[in-house]
Amino acid sequence: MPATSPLKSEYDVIVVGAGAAGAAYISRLTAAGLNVLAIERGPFYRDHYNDFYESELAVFNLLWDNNNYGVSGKAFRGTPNLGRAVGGGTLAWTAVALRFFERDFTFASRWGRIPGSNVADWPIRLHHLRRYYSEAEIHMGVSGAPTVWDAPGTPPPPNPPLPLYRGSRLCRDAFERLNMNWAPGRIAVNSQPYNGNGACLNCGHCRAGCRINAKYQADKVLIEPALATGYLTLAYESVVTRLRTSECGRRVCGVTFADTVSGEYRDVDARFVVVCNNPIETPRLLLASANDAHPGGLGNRYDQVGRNFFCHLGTIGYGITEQDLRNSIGHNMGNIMSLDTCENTDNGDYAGGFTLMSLQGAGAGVVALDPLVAVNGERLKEKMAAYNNSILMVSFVEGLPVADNRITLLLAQCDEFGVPKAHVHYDYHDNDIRALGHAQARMRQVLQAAGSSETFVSPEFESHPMGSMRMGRDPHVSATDPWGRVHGIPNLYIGGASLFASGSSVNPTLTLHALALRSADHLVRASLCSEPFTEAVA
Amino acid sequence: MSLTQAHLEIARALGVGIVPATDTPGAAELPVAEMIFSVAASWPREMQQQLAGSLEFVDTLSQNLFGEGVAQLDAYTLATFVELLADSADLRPFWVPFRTLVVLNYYGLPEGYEPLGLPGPSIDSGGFTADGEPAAAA
Repeated sequence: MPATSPLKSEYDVIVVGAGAAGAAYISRLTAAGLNVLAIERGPFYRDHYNDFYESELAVFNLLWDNNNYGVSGKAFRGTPNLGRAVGGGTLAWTAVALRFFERDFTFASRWGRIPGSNVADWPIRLHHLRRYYSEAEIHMGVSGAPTVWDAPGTPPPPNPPLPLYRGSRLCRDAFERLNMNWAPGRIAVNSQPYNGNGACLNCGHCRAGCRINAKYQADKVLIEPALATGYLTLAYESVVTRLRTSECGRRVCGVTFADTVSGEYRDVDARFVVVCNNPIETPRLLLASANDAHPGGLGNRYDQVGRNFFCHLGTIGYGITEQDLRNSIGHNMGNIMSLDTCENTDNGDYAGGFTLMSLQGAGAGVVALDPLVAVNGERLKEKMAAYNNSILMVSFVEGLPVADNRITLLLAQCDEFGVPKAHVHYDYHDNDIRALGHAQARMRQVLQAAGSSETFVSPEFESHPMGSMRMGRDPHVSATDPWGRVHGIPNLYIGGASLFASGSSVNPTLTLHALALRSADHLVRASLCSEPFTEAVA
Repeated sequence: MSLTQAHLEIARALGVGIVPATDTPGAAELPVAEMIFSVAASWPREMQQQLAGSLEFVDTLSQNLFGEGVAQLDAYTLATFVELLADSADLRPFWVPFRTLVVLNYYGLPEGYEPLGLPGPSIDSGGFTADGEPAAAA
């Protein structure tokens, strides 16, 4: 089996999925001296400079394959950019690193019960995450400046803001004309040398993996140092097929996993297991691990595992100007942003809100497929020829959790390792569509105020999957407790956006990183109360 | 039903309708259809069959409407047909992902992106300044 050191039969902790959340857990747990086995489905790219290359097509080498799911409903089209490698989505992400707002943790209290939705308050508040957000920003080397949207007392990010690009300066002028606040984005891209890596070279290819590590990539920043402690074994190109519990089902006792190349299976035991897969694969694994003690799937006594799945609705705008804006260079997302619209204060038409951020870099294919989706033939080529004269923007709209939007299993259809395939049911809530309409209209307004003579705004696409293992205090309406532990199985933790009770409209990665650090601290404390698995580390 | 050379020809012709040759190469001058079929080879068999069936349906539709298969349509008729496909709600489950594959692969190739002014790989030469000038020259 491909692994960084010989496998043992038992560890203190097994972390399933070495992506954005898994890396945060791994870093914390190994720093506390716990022996950790991390198991990752994808490859381990150790030499970023030579393993990655600047190409829009190279992005797909880093992404999870969404084609292997059964789908019902109209909203899931396999679009989300989920990671599949050591480092997970942080290799392909656009590095927007924003904190949730205080109000995001009390969505149900703020907006009330919205018919057809299953909105809830989080079981924690912003102050529970505050110090973990700061630590996450230091891990990521976030660049940015204080903004009018920051909660009181929020420290500035560790690096100064990245300079505004030509197109961003037009957006700035547009925001000001429209009496909107603006700020340079909070971006996990080095505006100056940081943590041993150089500043961004503006190549335009963040999503293909940063060859010079000027973008936060969890494998370099967290996992390689964890390996250096001697407390981490990393098995890659390996897939966990089953979580095993004690006979009574009250504790998880290990995992069964397979080498995806050789097909060899292996059982390993642990005192704790942390599942940090994406919000489709995490419930899939718990449901597929059903046993006599958990006939409906692990922790699924009240049929909550897999429920309340939701996404952000993304939309992209393309405004053509007469100016040379060099739009093809630069870090990819959020060079400039306005978060004024993250809370709807204008009218009662919808709950929640949406972000407005600039896009730059090598995204020609994205422009052709999203904002220009209705344009074909010679006219498509004509509009595409204006790429470097264009302003590109993206908006993420807050989608609402709905109980019946959920992940289940296709019991009659198994993958090559005998695990039932997942089924995704996802339809948008009416509120999602109303908020989307406002986001599209506002984006067009900004593009026009920035001097665009012609504008194209895309239909929605689903991005940033969340929910499916919702945090809460009541096991009748949530799948995990406020520490991310599966209800009824206190040594089984969950990491990632699957925990989110609501999704804000800002990008989720900083929050899932902070959540993982907080839960890892809890796990470390819990480990002190249970019998340790001890093995000397050289 | 598996993907055949005939399916490839239909896909290539539809690609021309989406990205025709002008003063720069079109989708048919680049291995766009071949790249799509290469991607499709990794799909579950059911999805491959759906693609094959959809391409055959579209070709039959062309024959019914214009008396010729997609690959035989002249440029004007092909453009008309592509607009018809793009406007069809019934065909959206095929058309949107197929068109996505065409444009992503076309504009991901240097012959597709260089005419737009996208620079391609630049890290080895030092990248760019924030104002878009080559860093090595700054």
